[in-house]
Amino acid sequence: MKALYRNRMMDVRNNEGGVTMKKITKKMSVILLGCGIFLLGACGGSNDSGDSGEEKITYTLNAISATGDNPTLEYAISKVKEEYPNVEFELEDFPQDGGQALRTRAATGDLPDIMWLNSGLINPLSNSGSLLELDEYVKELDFNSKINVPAQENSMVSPDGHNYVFAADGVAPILWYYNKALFAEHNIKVPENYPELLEAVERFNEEDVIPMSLFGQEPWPLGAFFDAFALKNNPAGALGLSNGEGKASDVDYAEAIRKMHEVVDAGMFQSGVTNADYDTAFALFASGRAAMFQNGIWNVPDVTAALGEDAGYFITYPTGDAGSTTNDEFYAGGGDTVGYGVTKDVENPDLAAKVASILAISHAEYNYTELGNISSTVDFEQFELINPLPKMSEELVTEIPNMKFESAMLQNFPNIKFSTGFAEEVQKLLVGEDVDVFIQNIDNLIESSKE
Amino acid sequence: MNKVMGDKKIIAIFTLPALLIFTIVVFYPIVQTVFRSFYSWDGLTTPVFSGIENYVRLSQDSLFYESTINGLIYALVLVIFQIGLATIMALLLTAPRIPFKRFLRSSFFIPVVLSVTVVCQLWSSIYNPEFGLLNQIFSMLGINYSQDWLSSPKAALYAVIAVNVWQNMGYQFSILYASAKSIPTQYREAAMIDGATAFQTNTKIIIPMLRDTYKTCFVIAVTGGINAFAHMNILTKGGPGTSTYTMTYMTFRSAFTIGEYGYGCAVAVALIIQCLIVTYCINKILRKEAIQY
Repeated sequence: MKALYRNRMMDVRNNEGGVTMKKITKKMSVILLGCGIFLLGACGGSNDSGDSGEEKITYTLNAISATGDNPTLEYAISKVKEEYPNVEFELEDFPQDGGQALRTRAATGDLPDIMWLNSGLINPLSNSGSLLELDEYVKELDFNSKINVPAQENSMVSPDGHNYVFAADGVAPILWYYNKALFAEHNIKVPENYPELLEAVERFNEEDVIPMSLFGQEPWPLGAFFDAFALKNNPAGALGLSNGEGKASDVDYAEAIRKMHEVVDAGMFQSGVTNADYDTAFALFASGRAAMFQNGIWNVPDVTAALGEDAGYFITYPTGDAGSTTNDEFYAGGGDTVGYGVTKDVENPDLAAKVASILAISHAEYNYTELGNISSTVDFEQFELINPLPKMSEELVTEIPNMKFESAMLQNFPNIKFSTGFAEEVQKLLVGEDVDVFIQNIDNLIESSKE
Repeated sequence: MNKVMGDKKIIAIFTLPALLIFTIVVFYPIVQTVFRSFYSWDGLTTPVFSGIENYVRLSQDSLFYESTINGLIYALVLVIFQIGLATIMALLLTAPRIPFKRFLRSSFFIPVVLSVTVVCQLWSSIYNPEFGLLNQIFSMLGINYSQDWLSSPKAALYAVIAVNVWQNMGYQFSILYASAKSIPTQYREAAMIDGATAFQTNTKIIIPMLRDTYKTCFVIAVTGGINAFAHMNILTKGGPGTSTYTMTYMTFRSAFTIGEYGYGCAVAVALIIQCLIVTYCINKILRKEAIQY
């Protein structure tokens, strides 16, 4: 019975469904073949031959706001296309996570081909051999001749003596901005030295005005505030402590720390300073509730927009002794090796390096000419501005060459263990830690973070 | 059915997928963490075996003790307020003649389903020393108690814990409420006939009968306190200074901020041990024979 049923079914398949089955099989074969050809083509997509006859190449490009609205990057990519029409980019956003994502990707050999880098990332990635050394390319492309002198001196060479980026952002001093109108309204002298600063802080507190707003939730403003005091006594500032060149208990540092503690104790900052982000701190300054504000030179356009003619900045930090001009030329901040770097295992490294150099210089050019950013790396005399610079920026263009930087932004310290602990200790000082305990803790930190 | 349950091969086949997933997702990472804790490793370069160096360093690290104490305070406050409030709410809602029960049940649970980020942003605004609701309330009431809630080394930890208590109290409430509801009503009725007050009924009958449920609640609250991370990461970033650090935050700092993965693994191992110890202690303390009435 079972055999009979099986035979009948076979007949049915042969006579009725068999023809259909063959057709389906044929169609499926054609579709699969087509898919196979398509997939083979797609797999080789990063290396196609274009109409121009040149081999197409696709690089993954990891940059700030790469997939969002970023006219600077769009301009830089258009400049690359002008020179290398065969180069395509797969864009990825640079994660603002302290480098965690890129470090993890480096561990798995999955770094983007070309990426935005800063020294906080360069140090671990170069130590692990993940980055392409660009020394020869910098020379071959004569890159230094295309950027300004401060950028050449501060933004190109990493602590190990090699180039890993084509610098795209240049020297950026950290400024103390102030509201001229608030000083005038309360009849308080704009301080020129430490005693005057302390007096101004006390007077502003009496007048219920916040002397200075600071975004102390982030580490680097804390380091910059420390440097504003320490640089007067030791130009190496916090970086000197990090490198083990000095101790907090040394006379020069200890004196600066005691001054810093004194103004903090006198009520220098707003409530909630260690938990304040940029928006909160800047809102206090822009709304006239705070008389001073600390931030980098990149904030000039926003400060000018908020305060107009009332916006001012301190030519030198008013933290030195009365009548002293020692170390007035030293500023917090400075240059960092920030720009475009290339991963070591990139396809066609010569081309990738050239592309990265174009991205960097175009980025800097657009930032200066279109956005009026004077922390750009370009030689300002070679380019014309689209919009006139704010008055403060005009002054700073002439001031920057006279500024000196021996410390650095906290996130750019090679010793991350020190910089992390240091920011935590400064936060504690801002919320009432005893100054002697602070000095002792910093000395301990220097010892424990020696590498 | 008995035949199937008696066949060891079949039992093995059915439990194998779960065991495999558990091994891959839980056991293997723990073994790896323990293994890596004996190395000096930055996550990128080749790890270098360093023996117990990370553990010796950990024992000398003041941050370890600060984080541990903070974790214990966190756990203690969670137990007192989260489970305490949840118990009061659960007992109230199991009592007869309480109006709006369904509304109250839902209200208590709403914060649990909100994202931690949303909750922390909300409370960050409430805690704002300049414009925050909390200081405004004190000001309106004429009480001179304005605080720098999240920037005060003394207040910050408690401010963070309060957010956790508020958000997750509903979770403990739901466990206790469900358990309390499952207790047969005749126990209450018998107690009332015997002249017991509502307070006596709850403290002498209902709460003791919830012993096993409390065991679960305590384990959740205490381990949740010791390894708390999300709330302080968003609200204070461990600050001011290190005053809101817990062991999980210390692990995160060591591994991802500083790039000392080996040391971070040692901290994580210490955290695992702490959690195992408190879980064991809770089970030991609450291990008594089931109450029979």
